[in-house]
Amino acid sequence: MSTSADPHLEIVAGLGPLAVVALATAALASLIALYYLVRRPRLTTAVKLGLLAGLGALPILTAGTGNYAGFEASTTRPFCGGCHVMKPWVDDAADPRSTTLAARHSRNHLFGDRSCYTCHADYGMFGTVATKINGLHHVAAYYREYADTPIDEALRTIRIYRPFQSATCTHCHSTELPGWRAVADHRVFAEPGRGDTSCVSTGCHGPAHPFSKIARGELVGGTP
Amino acid sequence: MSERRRRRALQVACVLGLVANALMAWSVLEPTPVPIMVSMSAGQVIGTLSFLLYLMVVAADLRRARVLGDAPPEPPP
Repeated sequence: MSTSADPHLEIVAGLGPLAVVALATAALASLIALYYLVRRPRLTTAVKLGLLAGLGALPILTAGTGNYAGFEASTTRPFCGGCHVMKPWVDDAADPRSTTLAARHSRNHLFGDRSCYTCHADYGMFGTVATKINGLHHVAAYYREYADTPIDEALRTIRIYRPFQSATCTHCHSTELPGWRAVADHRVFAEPGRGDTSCVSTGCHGPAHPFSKIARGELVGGTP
Repeated sequence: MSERRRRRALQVACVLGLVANALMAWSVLEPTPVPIMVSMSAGQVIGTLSFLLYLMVVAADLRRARVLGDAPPEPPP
């Protein structure tokens, strides 16, 4: 298992242009507010216009760019590893020697350092919103139950809320190609009541992570 | 709204703006779950309050200058 660098440093080192704009506008707005607080100038038109920029336009720009930068950051693997109990999963995905499904997908440049989000996002019509709401659920669960959980215990107890949806896989992997259709096991998708069989089931392409309970034989016949 | 109260309101707006800017910058510099959630909730509520205070002062100013609210007095015939 690889040892990853400090996730905060990784994120800050990768600050994009939006984050730079957010920081620059926040700094400028703060300077204007500080100027007013320290110098206490008369309320001339120029001062009011300055305050319009410092209390209105610039903070709105900061909020807009900061929100977008925040959404972008929340799709990165270091962000997912921000909760200590996720470290083994994140480390495995980033491990160049690992042969798990998650690690192999993470080495694909189309996934890159967003592999957690790419595979665990909801791709429905309101997928981004649903994914973010689920993310809030994760954060709440972390602070309610897992903040003080040792990693050994987390490995035994953490599991995804519902079986991994194959629709996430078929978002990229076509089920229409002859090569896919030629695999006899893929016919299971057409069988009544089996359409929800997960691609990452053990015996198919899974488990995706080395710690999945089914990989350790703790669950039998289910999906990880 | 008196001149003193308007200045006081703007000072409060500036302090709130500084807090909001700090929270929003924090989430950019440390984009982990808690800073991002705090920035998108508390940071933006505080920033909005700051801007609303500023708008209140502007509205009071305009009312005082009779641009808003009371109509200017009729000129004598």
